[in-house]
Amino acid sequence: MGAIRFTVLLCLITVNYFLFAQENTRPTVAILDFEGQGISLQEVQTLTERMRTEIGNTNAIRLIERKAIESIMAEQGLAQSGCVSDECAAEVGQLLGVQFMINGLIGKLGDSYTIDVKMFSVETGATERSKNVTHEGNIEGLLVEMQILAWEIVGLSAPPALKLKRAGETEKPTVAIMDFEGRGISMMEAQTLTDRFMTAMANTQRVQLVDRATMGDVLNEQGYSSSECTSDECASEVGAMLGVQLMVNGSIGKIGNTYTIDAKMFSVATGAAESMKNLSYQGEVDGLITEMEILSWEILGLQVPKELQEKRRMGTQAYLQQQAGVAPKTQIGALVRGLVFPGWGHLYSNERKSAYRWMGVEAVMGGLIYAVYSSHQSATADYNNYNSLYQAESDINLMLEYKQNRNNSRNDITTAVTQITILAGITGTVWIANAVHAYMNGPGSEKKKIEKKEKKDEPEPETIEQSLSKVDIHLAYEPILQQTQINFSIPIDYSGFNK
Amino acid sequence: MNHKFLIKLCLLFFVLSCSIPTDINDNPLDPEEAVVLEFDTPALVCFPALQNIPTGPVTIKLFAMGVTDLSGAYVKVKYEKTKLLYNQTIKGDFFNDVQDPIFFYEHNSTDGTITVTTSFLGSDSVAVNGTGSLVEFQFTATSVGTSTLSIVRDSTGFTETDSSVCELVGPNDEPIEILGYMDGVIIAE
Repeated sequence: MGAIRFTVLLCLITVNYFLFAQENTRPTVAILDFEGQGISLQEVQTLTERMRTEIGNTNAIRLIERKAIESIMAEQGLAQSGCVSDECAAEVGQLLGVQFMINGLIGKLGDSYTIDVKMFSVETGATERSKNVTHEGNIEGLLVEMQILAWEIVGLSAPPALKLKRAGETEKPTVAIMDFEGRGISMMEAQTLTDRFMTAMANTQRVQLVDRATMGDVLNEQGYSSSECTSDECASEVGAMLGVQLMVNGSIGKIGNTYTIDAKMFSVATGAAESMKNLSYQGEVDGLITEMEILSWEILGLQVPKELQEKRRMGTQAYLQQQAGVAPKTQIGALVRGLVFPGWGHLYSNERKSAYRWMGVEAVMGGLIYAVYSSHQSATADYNNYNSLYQAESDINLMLEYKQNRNNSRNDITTAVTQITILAGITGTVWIANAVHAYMNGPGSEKKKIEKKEKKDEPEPETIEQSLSKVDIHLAYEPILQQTQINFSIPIDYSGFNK
Repeated sequence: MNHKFLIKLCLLFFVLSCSIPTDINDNPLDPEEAVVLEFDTPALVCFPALQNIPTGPVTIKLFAMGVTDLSGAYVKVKYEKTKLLYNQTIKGDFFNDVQDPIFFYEHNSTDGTITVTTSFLGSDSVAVNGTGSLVEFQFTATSVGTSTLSIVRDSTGFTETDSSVCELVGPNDEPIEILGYMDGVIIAE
């Protein structure tokens, strides 16, 4: 028991030592009230106080309290507002025993405000760091600028939340999205889908998103790559460093032909899950992009836009065609085209072989009709000729001969018309059959769906040529290099090579 | 390309819809159609029965149709002198044989009538049978319109000085009853 107490005591001493040691390594700094030019003293004091408050949040320095400064200056018979020169500041700094002093100037020039701030060594008088910023707008905007300068004057980058606040987006919660973990899909695919998720969430205009580059910087500082930081703890830590309120992480998995997406949005401050969503999806990979877009709305508890719902219903390709002004291919479209011209409906459905077959059949039928039509025309000409001869002839024998010939021609005409009627009937029937066939095999038909499924499930290629034709190519965004890459693989160790 | 094909296709179907022609047996000398044309034989028939011609020369023949033992004929026709200008009269070939037939005619330009008398002078027979041309008349259509060459068969064709009608006779001068007449119609355009 005594040994345990000793161990605990030793640990506490060790922790205190390190904390103390860390405390001692931070430089001591005092901030003098800035000099004001064109703005009131109260405004200057308020703005300086905002910098004091914010600089404490950086944990990069040990800040001397305002009251201590005022006390020392009062002892010396100085007012803060009167101590604006570097010499005076250095003197005060020496009296305070601090290493660095920060002073500055806030001025107004037309409608713009300027802030110049400087941190210098009390001991040497050398300027350690100086910053300046110009602000256009209301004086209230200087509060944020002072907060940002508080970080930058100590050599740190301002949190994204502050930068967003500077950009005027103050009412929306700040959100950072971690790359979704890919399970059964490649990292690049996961990143691409995350990018789409991120873009879609930005489109909601309900949150302020931290850009990927900033998050990458933070992860790099922590020694992580985006794929490694998948746990909630890591995400929470990154979120705290980013200064965001909410973090989103999740995973995309593939089981057989089914994709699953799990996403969680949680509070960085409390770690509590704000929203959790999951969905399963079967179909083309491009449809997964739409699902990610929809998920980005749903996880924020927002109504999914009709456009996205339509995109999910129609399929990405059809939707994009519709957006581009090209009507999506339908069974009715195939039917109508098939009725207008044999084979056109099949061409419309990308069934070229069937199209050419139907066209061929109709062409043969058309040829037959034309041949019979020619004989019909010939018989008609004969008929008219014999009829003229008959009418002009006064010789009884010749007259009767012409009459007989004319009757024979009329019989030929009758036969031709009968044949044409039959052939036209057959042609019409084939034509209608072609249209019905085009409809049944048209885009979106059950047969097409089955064919697509069979094509998707087809076995691995068995020959070198087939193997090479199945080269897997992916196009994805690589966030580290910040560029789009084509990733492809060729099965060089394929057993079919020995055949 | 497709549009042209479709137009051709439509035309083809249009042509296919044409009906089978109906026979018009309007040759007046066709014995099979005489009943349809509402006359019987023996008959005197103008041929062609109907002519559509431009103004100018026109020929019309007069046939004896479906006769038996015909050896002589008296023919009288009347034409519309306001529309037709008489040119000449030529004998037909029905009575042709080794010896030329008796053939004389008279043209009355005042009445617009032509009378023809002709007789068969055969070497082996005294009469002819069947259908054949008795006489050929040549006119000039002088004005546009319809005119008729009428075979005088009753009082409607009589003039103040001539009340005769057409006659067909046998070898012994016995009359052959004429059962049908077919006038000639000329439409000058």
